[in-house]
Amino acid sequence: MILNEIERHIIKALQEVAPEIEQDDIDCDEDFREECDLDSMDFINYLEALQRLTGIKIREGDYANFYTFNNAKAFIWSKLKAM
Amino acid sequence: MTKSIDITMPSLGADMTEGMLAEWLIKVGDKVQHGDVIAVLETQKGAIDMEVYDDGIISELLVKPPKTVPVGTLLGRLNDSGLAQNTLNETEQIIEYKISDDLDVRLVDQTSVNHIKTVINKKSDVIVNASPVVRKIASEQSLDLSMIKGSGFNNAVVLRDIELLIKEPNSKQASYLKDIKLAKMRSAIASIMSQSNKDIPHFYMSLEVSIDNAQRWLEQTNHDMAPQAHIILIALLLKAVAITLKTYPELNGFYLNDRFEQAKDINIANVISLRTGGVVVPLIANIDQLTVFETMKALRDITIRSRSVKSGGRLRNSELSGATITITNMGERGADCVFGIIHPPQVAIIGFGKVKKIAQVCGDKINIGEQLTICLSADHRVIDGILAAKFLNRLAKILQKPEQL
Repeated sequence: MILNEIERHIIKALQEVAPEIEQDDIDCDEDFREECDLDSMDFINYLEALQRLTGIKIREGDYANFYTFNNAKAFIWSKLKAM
Repeated sequence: MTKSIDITMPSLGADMTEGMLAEWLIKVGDKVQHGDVIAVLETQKGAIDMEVYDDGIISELLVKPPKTVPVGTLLGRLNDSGLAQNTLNETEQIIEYKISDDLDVRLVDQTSVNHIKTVINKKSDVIVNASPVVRKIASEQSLDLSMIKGSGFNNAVVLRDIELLIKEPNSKQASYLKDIKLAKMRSAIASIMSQSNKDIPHFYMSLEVSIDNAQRWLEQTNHDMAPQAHIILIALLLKAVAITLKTYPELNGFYLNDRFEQAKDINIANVISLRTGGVVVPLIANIDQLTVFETMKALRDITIRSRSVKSGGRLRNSELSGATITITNMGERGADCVFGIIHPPQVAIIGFGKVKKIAQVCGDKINIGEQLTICLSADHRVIDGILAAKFLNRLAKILQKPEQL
């Protein structure tokens, strides 16, 4: 999986909980939860979608790595490389 | 002996006055069972799966979708046993249903009856100008013509209006339809909340509760869990409320015909905000009998279906009527307290504020702990201050032992 594929998956996972969000709306270093108005239920649904789309395993201790676009991208990339 | 059972436009709460039959999912002669989804309704609360409450065979379908009708309107019939007697074909069976003055209104409570009568009296028939072709396409696409702004002569809905709507979901027409839907939802919320404020003598009470134990339990339970197994605080709060209501059932029920009727089941409605604006308030039935894990699963399920995040999921009518109490959780949006307006005929609504870090004095030491404020709005016709205070204190106590929930 290449980096822009990961980016696409992050956007798609976000859009599953917040369909109105477009890539251009996202500041890559801002917290999604604030920026996209995700509540805790939306956030775990976003993680679940991301897990399904990328095939990586996400555990509770990893959650903080998914708050921003850039962090999520880097974390998924490192997980995929290790697989 | 075969008994004929009416299928009517259901009431999804005292704030619903009408609904649009968008699609039948069954046909005459089909066998149905209690709980089967037989139609899709478009309501002020969004698209809803309509369930049937009896077993039998569909004998008549009297309203041809898409059509907006008042709550209680007869939509069809089913025979409760044996084969359908009627052998007419489906086309012959579908007739235009005329709304008479004495509607066969089946409603959940008197509040709804009065409210709906007022609305029906005010309502005048909407005549839509449209050609047969436009009507045919609208029917195939489950579009209610009365909701579409026509651009033809005399505001007639013309072919291009419909085509634009279907081909360009982001067009002005589509956004107009979305605005109307939102306006209808807002008007339903406005109507029921104003009525509640007028009729119910509310009083308000709050209690700050330590949630250190609850947070610790959640941390341990969620440790190393995958997102799909994750439990969030509101699931624990819902379960704790259900258990507390068993001790204080005076808060769980309905005020009808000048008296309180205690509910047998504990069906807690949860306010879910929609990203497009407005709220829906679906219930989780019998939470007292669910584990926290099951409560979380149910909560997640109704949230996803309320927000229509995944295609194909819709709320069912049984999830939108019959709640015995309501919960609203504004904490995540950063508010300390929320005193809600009671949804009639219920007698209480509980609000949860945000989780805050606080300094706690423990003996000679100061610890950092977490707390939230539980807010209660109660109906003084049924509940007195002392009972409300006891309820809040009991709830606070139960939250100190999350492992027992």
